[in-house]
Amino acid sequence: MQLSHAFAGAAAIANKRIGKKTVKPAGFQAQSIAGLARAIKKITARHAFLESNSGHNHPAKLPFNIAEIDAGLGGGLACNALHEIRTVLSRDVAAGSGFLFGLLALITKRRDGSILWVSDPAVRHDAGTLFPQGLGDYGFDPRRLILVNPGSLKSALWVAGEAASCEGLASVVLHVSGNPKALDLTATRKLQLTAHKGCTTIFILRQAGAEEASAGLTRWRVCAAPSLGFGYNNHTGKHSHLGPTRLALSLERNRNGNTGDWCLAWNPHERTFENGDAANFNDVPLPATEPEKPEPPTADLVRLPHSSDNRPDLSPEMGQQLAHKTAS
Amino acid sequence: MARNAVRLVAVDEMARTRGLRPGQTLSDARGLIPELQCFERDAGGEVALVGEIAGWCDRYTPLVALDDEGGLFLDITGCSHLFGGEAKLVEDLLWRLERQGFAARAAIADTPGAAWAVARYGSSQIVPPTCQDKAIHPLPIAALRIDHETVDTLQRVGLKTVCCIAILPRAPLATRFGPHLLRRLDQALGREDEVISPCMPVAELSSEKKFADAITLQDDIERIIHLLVENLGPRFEARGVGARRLRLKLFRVDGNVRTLDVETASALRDPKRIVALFHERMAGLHEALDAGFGFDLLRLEVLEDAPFQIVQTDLVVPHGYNNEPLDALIDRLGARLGSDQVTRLAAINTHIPERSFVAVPVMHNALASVETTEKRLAETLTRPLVLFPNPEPVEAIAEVPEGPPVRFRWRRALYCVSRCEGPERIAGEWWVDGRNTRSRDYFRVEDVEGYRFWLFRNGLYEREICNPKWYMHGLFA
Repeated sequence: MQLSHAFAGAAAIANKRIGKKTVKPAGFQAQSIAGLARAIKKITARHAFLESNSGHNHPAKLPFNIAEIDAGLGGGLACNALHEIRTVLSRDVAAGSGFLFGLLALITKRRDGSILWVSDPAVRHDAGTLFPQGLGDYGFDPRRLILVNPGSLKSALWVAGEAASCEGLASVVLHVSGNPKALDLTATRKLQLTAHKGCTTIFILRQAGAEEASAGLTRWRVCAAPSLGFGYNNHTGKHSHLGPTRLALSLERNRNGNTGDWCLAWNPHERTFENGDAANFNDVPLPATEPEKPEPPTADLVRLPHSSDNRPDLSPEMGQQLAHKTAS
Repeated sequence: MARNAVRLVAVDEMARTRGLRPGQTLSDARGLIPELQCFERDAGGEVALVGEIAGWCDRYTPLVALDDEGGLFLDITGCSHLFGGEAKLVEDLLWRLERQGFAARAAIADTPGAAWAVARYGSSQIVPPTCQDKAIHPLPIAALRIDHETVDTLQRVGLKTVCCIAILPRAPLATRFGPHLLRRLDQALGREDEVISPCMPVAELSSEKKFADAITLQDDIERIIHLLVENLGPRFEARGVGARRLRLKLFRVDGNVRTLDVETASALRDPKRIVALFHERMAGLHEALDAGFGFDLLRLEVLEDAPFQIVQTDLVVPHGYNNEPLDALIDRLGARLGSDQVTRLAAINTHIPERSFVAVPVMHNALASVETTEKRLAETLTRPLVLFPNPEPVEAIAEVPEGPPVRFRWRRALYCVSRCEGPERIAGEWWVDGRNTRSRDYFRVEDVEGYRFWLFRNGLYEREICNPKWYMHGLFA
């Protein structure tokens, strides 16, 4: 009885609505659509004004100046956003940092400000420290670097969030190890929002980390690639000297475009990224044989203990027995 | 043990009424009262307790000094009117101490010596100005802060009160008892100056607020800090300075005093920013600020100030331009995490890689304190991006003893070298490390997978060491 009553009521309301719509004069409808269009126009104009007049004359995109990559990114890396750079292995941390410093060098070329480098305490166990003299390759003045060493990842996240809205900073780097629980989707979404609002680029440098859902615009996997070398040695038939740094890059996630794999080289003279397949900045002949492209080191790493114990989306691997109990 | 016997140091009120006195031997006391309960003296604990009370007395005057016998000197010059006069001050002090469970005696006099004497042996609380001779003359000789032996000797010759000494000719007294006795007498009477040494540094500027009703909420505390900084404002302006280091003292009702320090990167006057610093400081505390029954006095002290530069800002602030400046961020991070956790890299004049740079707190402009160089930190292209502060030993195999490694094992992984540059020799600093320091031969090495390492051989083969070891020192990008 009660139920049918409610039903009847609902039906009555629906009727009323339909009735209202049909009763309205046609002229009113046209007028409201025109009004709506005006309102939309006003809002978009205001939006554009805010965008252009937000007090920051910083560029919105950071181009690599390499056609294939820039095309995938829609003109370059979005500046006021969160990006993640991860390395599969701990030993790749230098390659990851190298890529990151390349990007930071590109950023600092275009705008003033310091770089805030926040590191999770877990990183300090085995990663070594940044060596200021090594930043010469990137034309990066180490005095622009502010290092923050909080006591916990929670504080590190807090620092990164606070720093994103600081006007004196060109970029914020959060260096973490593995896939810590505290840096989950919610945390990255917060960072992405503050980065967008504060017009700062935030980078997460994740060493020895697995893929994890994040709110960042892009995620890059970096590992070292053999350099092409120079100084051809007639005795060995090889180029014995180290060539410019080459990195095997893989854009694993791109919210606004395509993903892809590239090999990039860093040109320390021009301080730009260049296509790594032909990278030779020393005016010496290229090696006769093309060096084989490095395979991403994944296949032989399955047996390694997974560094991402905290990934929420993975169930623990079954059937793995690491040690047998001794029969006593 | 004092004077060859176990003696009583302090007695409570009940023991006093039954005839016990400090200084009595324990066996005498037990003879009088067989059921006497006694505890061994905890000298360290007493000193700590008196120190805490001294910290609490800071609410009356910043000049608080400890005396040698468990008492405190408070220099209340220019402070008493804040409490409604000297009598009110003493009354307030004794009342608050009594509520905390201490039996205390206090006296106010022109000189520390007279106040000491009257507090311990006198009956009045306030000695009127320039009347200290009248006040201390009838007191026993021990009121002069002299050692037991001198007191005993003086009493044996019949000099029982201060008056007896004061009227005697000075020269024979000095020859018989030394100059110390007369100095103490002169100090007590005001003929000779005596300086007390305060246990805490006195702040240049400070501002405080008392509450009739104790406050407990953090919001209230922050509001009060805002108020205190505003109070300091005119004095900052008069001196042309801003705060570099601030201390907030929170006086809890039960006598506990908490202090919170914050530092700033540049001179600061803005109340909002200072409140933000204390907010972060409180948020970063390991254990929350225990308000107990509340705080009844807050004092903000400026421990260090610096010239304040007024910066001309734009009249037209761009729309949406409300981001905070870098200084403010660094101050807040330092307040929350500790100022030495926010650092910048500075160069040091040495070739040894791990010693060539140092992280200095951004907040202290401490570059001057470290021996830094003006040379650019980054000038060579052959240095790694990541450095291990402690070089890690590797097992390496080289084709020739002086040559580069062909294969090496680092952190349990094997690497095969495909390209190599070097050696680059860095000699040891014998003027720092002594005679046995070794040269290092550095190699830039790339393995077949493309990893690049900075390895060195520690020691010159056969010249410095016969079996040099290899170390991993850095990673190139």
